[in-house]
Amino acid sequence: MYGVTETADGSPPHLELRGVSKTLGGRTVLDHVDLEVAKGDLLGLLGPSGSGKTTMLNIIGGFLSPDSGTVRIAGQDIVGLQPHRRDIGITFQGYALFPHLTVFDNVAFGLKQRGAPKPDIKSRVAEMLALLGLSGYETRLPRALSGGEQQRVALARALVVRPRLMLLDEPLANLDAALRHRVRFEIREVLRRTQVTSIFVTHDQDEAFALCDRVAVLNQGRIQQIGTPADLILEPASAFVAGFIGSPNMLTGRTTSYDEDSQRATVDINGFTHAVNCRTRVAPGTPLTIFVRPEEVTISPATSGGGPFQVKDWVYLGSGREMWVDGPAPLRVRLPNDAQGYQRGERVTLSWRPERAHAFPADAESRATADHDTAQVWR
Amino acid sequence: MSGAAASGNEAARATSAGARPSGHRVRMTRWLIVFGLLAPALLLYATVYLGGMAIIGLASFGLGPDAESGATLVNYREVFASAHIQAVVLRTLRVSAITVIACLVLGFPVARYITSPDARWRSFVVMAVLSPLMVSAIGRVFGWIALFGPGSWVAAQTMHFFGTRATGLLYTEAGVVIGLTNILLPFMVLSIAASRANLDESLLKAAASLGATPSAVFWQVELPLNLPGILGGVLIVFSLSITNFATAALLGGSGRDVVAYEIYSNILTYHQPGTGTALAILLLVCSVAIMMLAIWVGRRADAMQAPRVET
Amino acid sequence: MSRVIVLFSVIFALLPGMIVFLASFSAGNSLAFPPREFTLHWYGVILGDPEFSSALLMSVMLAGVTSVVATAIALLAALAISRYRTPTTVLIEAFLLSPMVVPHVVIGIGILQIYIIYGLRADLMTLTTGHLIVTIPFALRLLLASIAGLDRRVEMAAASLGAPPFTVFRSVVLPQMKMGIAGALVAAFILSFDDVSLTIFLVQPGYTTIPILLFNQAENNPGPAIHAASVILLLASWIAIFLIDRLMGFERLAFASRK
Repeated sequence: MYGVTETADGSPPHLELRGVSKTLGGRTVLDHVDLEVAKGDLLGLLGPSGSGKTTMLNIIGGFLSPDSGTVRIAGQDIVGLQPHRRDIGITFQGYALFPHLTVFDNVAFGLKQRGAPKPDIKSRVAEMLALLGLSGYETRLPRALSGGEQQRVALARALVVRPRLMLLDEPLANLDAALRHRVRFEIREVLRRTQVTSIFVTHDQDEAFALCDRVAVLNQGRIQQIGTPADLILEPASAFVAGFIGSPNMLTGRTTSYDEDSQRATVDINGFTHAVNCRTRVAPGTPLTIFVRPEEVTISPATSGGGPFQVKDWVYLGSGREMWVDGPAPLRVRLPNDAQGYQRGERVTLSWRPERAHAFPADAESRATADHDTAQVWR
Repeated sequence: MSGAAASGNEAARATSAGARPSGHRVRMTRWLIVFGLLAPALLLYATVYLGGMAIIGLASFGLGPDAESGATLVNYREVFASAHIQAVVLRTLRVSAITVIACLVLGFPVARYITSPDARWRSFVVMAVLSPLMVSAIGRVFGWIALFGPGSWVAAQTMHFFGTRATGLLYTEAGVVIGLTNILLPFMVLSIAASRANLDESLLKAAASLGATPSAVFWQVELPLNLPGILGGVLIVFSLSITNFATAALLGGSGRDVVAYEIYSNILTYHQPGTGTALAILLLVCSVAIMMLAIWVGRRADAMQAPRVET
Repeated sequence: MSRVIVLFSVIFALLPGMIVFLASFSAGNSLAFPPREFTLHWYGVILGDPEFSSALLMSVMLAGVTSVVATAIALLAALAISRYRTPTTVLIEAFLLSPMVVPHVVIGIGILQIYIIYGLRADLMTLTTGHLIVTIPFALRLLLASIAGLDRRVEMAAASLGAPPFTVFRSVVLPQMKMGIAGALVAAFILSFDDVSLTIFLVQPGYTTIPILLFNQAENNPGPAIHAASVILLLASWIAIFLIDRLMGFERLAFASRK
């Protein structure tokens, strides 16, 4: 249930959390969290609001103490170490630039605290500003900068001291959509160039997937799964992950048969049967929650006599066509813009590759994913 | 807001008028309405407020209804020449300066407390410390008198320890400082608290994460950002304390003769309207100037947190 | 350490009021503290005193009239200023708020001179006029803040449904401003009730207010009944604070009285 934690190449982890728990105001915000990040990795911490991401950030940064568990950086236990001794670079949501200092003084702040000699400070700040395309901004004040520029100054400020770990808290949250794409790319490039281990906290799945080598999905204080974006999409470890990534169709059905070797289950969805992938051994009759992404559903015209599904409507989304289909269960299907069209009311059949539909026993946890907006309620 | 308000209002008027509004007539009616709404206030102010101060101004220069000769600077010269008045001014400045320091020392921690997120007694402290804003000063004066006036326990202790006259702290400049601090503390707290509200917790965290020790965070981040609030508070408290009348008069005893009291006694008791009016004008100019400065400092503080531009 | 200072400040702020309150029940004859016995004797004395009761009546009437008139005038001005924002009205706003930065003694003397010139004696009207000058700025501040918090679109909706401007004002704007108006009334009342620095120049024997009475008494020899008198004066303040806190939260008023 807690997802597999492993480092990319088997070397000792650079950052390690073991059994970290935290209760705030009576609520368990983090529940025995284990996490490992290898040196130079870009890890995304993805989860809905309230999942505990910010608390984890605060614990790693030293602003909160865990109730139990250890936090190690390069083997050194840092719980109990004051924030200013941890050598962790942090960018905050809202950037937290010092409003009374110029860009230069903002970026130089950390170096000054470390007592670096003036000429050193000058050259390193200049180097970092150049890296982030901010040369010439030295004397400007934060309030004269745009959101994207402030983001870059915040990044420069945190990176110039060459921290052993970077924490980025929703760095793109305050930017509008067009800007986000550009800045996202810049951030990734800079982090790669400086080769600093980074943890990137976000609630936006696209962002996490675009920026990070691996992503840890967090929900209600527990890590559901850690893996590459491909792992999360193709092999979700829990109903929550399956439901959280992308916006899949969510169906309920009953097991009719199960094959342990292939981990295939045949499921009956209101009379429509199909094979799905199911990693848990289930007995026939067990109710299942099935997640299948709209992109994985194939649609074909019904043979004469009528198929089980009926086309209701469709919309053009720019990236493709999304068709809404009614039948034993309502489904959304994604098609390319130029695919064959269907009439409203036309009867069709649907299908999918079994390994692309993920089924989980329909317990409380699966039902909890109903909170996340996966069900279509368009009737 | 003004743009939207104006156009919204215009739209409202246009629709409700039902007729096609001609620009000129609409503007005329509007001005009439504005004038009508402001007339009572302006009339009142012009006659009593401006008029009164104009008369004082004129009188200070020797002009006005009961003037004998023409414009003269004799009143002002007397103010600057009089040793007595110089002593009064010095006393006023001394008392005010100490009051400002006391308010700062007490006010900064209080402002810090009420703006910190985890303050359990916050609303109680706010009510208590800010209550002097609304609770009658006169009503509480006798509390001070009872506390350390003659015959009180405090007076007995001071006589015991210092062997001085049995007046304790009352009827001294120290008493005035205590009384003034009590009344003016809320202003200092408000000024500092308002500027602290702009202080983002994440700024302090950022500073710490960059390696600043808690002391460095205070001196290099927290204090500079609080400076406008502190400065504004200092100016306001100073201005209010140099113009204070009632508290000084009641608690001062020998130290009661501050500038405001001098003006009062000159005009009402000794019937020396000349120096009184000149002093009043000088006090007016000084205190208004200081207040304007305080307001300007406050504006600059707000400007520091100006909203960001999104491009 | 700073917690200690905060605690001290709280005690310091509340101390004189508490002492007056406790001392008013003291049976002892001197202005001493701590009290020895407890009695309501002095309240009886003070309330029976004709000078005190006439001053009390004067204070209450004065404060009452002042608060109503000040709020009314300030309301009109607030509407004009907030709805018709031009450089002129902004200037007028600063002008109307200016008495807050001018020392009360100077304002008082000025008004006194005007009255002398026109041979006006101290009566309810002259005293009220003086009090208006120092209460209108506060009322104006509060009302401007109250208006600023209104949603203009509700008025626009009403107008689009056919309501003429005055009706919009009466049925949309005014009800939403109830809290602000009530706050202004209470604030103006208490400011007028407590005022000394201005009133002292306008009163004459026979026409005085409670604070002035106490002021004069303190300069001469105050008897022990003075504590009871003070408590009665403070009572008005405490009630006002309670009301304001109920209406709009004490904090909002406090921050509005920033200069």
